[in-house]
Amino acid sequence: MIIKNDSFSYNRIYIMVIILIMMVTVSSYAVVHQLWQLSFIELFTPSFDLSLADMSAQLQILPTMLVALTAGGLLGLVSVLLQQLVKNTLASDTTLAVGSGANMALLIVTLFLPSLSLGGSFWVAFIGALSSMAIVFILAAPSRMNPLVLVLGGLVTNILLGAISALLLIYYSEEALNVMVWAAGSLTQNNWQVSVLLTVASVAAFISLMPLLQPLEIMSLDDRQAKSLGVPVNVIRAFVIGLVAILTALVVSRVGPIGFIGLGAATLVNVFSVRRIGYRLLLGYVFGALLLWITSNATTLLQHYLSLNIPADAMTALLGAPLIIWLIVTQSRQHVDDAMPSLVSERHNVPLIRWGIALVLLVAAILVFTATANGWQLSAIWNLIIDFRLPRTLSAAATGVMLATAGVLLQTLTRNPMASPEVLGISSGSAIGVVLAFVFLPQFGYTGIVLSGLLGACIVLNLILWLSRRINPAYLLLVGVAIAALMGGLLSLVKLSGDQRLQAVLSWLSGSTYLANPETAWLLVVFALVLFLLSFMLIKPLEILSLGSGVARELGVSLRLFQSLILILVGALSTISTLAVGPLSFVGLMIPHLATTLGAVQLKRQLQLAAILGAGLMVLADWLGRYIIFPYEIPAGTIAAIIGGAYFLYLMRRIRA
Amino acid sequence: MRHHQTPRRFMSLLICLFATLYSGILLSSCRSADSAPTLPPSQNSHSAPKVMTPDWGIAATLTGMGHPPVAMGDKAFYREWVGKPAIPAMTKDVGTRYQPNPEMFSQLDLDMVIDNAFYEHLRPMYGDLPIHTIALESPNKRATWEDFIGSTLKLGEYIGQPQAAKTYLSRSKNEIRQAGHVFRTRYPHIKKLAVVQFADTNNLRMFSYNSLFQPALSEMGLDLVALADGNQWGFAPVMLGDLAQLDKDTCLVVVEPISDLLKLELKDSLVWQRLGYSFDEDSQTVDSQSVGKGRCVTLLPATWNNSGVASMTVLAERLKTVNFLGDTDL
Repeated sequence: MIIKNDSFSYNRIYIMVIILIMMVTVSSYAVVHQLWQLSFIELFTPSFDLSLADMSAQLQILPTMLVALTAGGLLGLVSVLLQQLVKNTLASDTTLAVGSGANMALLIVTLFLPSLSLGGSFWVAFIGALSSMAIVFILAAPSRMNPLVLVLGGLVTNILLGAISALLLIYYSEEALNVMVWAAGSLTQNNWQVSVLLTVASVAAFISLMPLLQPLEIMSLDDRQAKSLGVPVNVIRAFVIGLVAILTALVVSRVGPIGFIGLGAATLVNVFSVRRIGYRLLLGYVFGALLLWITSNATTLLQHYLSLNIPADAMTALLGAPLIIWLIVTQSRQHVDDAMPSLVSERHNVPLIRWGIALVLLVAAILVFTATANGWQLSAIWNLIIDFRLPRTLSAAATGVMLATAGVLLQTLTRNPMASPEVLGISSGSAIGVVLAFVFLPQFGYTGIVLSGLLGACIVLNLILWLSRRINPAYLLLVGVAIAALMGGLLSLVKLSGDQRLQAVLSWLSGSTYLANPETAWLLVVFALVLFLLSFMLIKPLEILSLGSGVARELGVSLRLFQSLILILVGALSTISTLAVGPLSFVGLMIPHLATTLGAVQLKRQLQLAAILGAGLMVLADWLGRYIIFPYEIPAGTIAAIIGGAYFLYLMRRIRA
Repeated sequence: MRHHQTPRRFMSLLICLFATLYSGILLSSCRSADSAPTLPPSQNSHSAPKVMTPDWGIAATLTGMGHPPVAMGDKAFYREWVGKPAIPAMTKDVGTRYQPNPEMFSQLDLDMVIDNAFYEHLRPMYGDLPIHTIALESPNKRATWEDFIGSTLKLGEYIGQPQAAKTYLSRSKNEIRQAGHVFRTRYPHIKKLAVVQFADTNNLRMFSYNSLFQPALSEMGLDLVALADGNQWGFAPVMLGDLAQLDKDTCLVVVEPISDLLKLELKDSLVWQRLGYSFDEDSQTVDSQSVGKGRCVTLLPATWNNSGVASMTVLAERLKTVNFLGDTDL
């Protein structure tokens, strides 16, 4: 962190806090004006002295705001603590998967142990939060807590847990009702209990942190130095991790999963370069509180005008993601050429032909071994294969090839091993384009949708490329996470609107090959082959580009031309595969690494093997998704994310800084 | 060196595996092609056509007429959300209603598809099968029994059983009136009912006059009370606090499913406590806020609100047996 002129940065903090407070005041006034009929003072009369209607309004105003304030504050506090602990400006309850771990534990208990009636239990959430933090820390340990590896671990854990819970909800949809009620993350209160609990927790957290300020301050410099000064480093670390888990579990179990507030608050604190740990914690709480308060007010107002029940989580994503992108973009001053962590791999011969034969045999076997109306059997009925199985298998294979190719191109171009269309938000950008075209430009039909999707992908791509020359690669991942969250928020609003056409978009974007038909499947295959061959022709310039712009210029490579060509190629690959199976899959991130660990170190070989492996994984995922719960289906994207995510977590142990 | 070997050996293994599998399949494929059409011959004695429908309402009505479909959408979830009439085990499940599995239903021996406008997007998938479309809902702001006669008779015509449809209609009307009679004997003081379903602790759907509850209750000799006009699905979104606007002599019918977690949350809700309803028989008298018993409320097992006459019959039959808690001497 750069140390800047203190008085300057304090002034900026004051301005920011004042702006946020003004937003809170205005939005709170609007909420009270909308919901409260009596005079302002009467808002504070004890609940049971009011009439039922007035009490209902009062509960929607006072405790709801108090819960928003304290929950947001606690999440902000947690994120600042985490960042202090791992010395990483990307750490937060969202990015380190603390919240999603708590969420997952609650989901599992509600689904499988309903008799314990532990749904919404604090202890279950606490154990979940601790376990997911442990997973992420264990993953990052071999690389000595490299910031990129740590956040990547959190990211992959998040996607994996998300995919698993999606799978559980499909598989156990009868029991899922219990979960859905609670997972909506509604801030609206109908009693005072939660607000009192969170207020007490806030006070207790600050009191228990008081004696730790001094040691934490010393630890932020250097562990060894801290130890020699007599600071019990490990004890303090364990205490902080425990506190983080308790506070996150408290918020998740009482309010529901709320993403991005903690990260937004902590990022704000970082932007203002506050050094004293005490102030950092306090500011983190204040920013978190103000951000969620504003979000809560906005939700209440929207709910009132649209009479829709909007989950707080969708709202925090819609408001928080742009904030984070803006913060990162405005922060882009210095380019840090960090040593990039990479997977340990050896180069050896790759028998491409054998891999190719294996793929063909896999496809052939999958086409005839399926679940049918009479259960599992070998069924080689020509009609069924041609009309249903082949189109979907081909679409899956084509998508796999495209995503894997895009992943290899992006990882080489940005020299970032964590780059991929999904992780950097390019697929999400294209999905946002598709949804917006569906809503606002229905008259242009299919062409409009495709072009809008391509435009979305290209905007994100350009943003990413522009940023990649200015900011730390780790921040790039954060932009991708933010764009993905933005899309998630947008999709849940679409879901709520209940519009039939949009429901069709949702099922389209759920990562399934359901809509594949014989014509589009062959078209997809042609697209995949053409784009793959084009990528293949760009290998030479790409190799030179990846050496750095200086080398490239000396060798006379027309830098801009080839860079734009590769960009357009990646945009086309991401858009077409997003249109085919949706933005959520792991293929682009994972397959290039898998190809490398299998010996394809050379770019040419990596591209070829990645294409084969990508096709294989998607074909397999699609087949499993179609037949495991036949005649019901699980989207191929979900299965690919689970297989891919689990494997990637396993691979990550081999990442060295 | 060992690194060098592992992927190769793994891959050779894979190739061998698939090669074996594939040759086996080629050998057996001739035989499995013969046994392709898989469904047992229709067991309906009246030689009604073999119908597939993605829709629960149509499936329920057909079953009520005694001619259940051979295949339907979301059969697995029908039991929880619709329940009655029970679909026989031989009816095949073709997957989700909105996106049924074409690979599944193309393996079945079918004569026709009956759907409604909601499933329009699926029609290209049915191939050469004839498609019939009916609307089992009332187009009017205030639904009546008469609104449903035409569509039900049409459904009978489609399956070549017009008499079955007529019998079904008169039997159903009779059953609903009978249920109304039983209800009024059990609870002579209950005249007005408000029907809601919980979305979460604060948000509810209140079934309005264009829903199926209106004609069903009116045939039973009861009045439906709603605070607002319904949307195209027959309900209006209301907040929990809005229930305070209901008169003292209106009983609340809460349609399930309602989760245990939601019941717990409701118990803690100050608004719910003040409203004076309780699903707990013990706490009825303990509640200090209300004098004596709590307000009149009941839980109604899940009832699908979009299945025309079939839904109304089920609704009436369930209301007949349901137990009201709280003060029923209004």
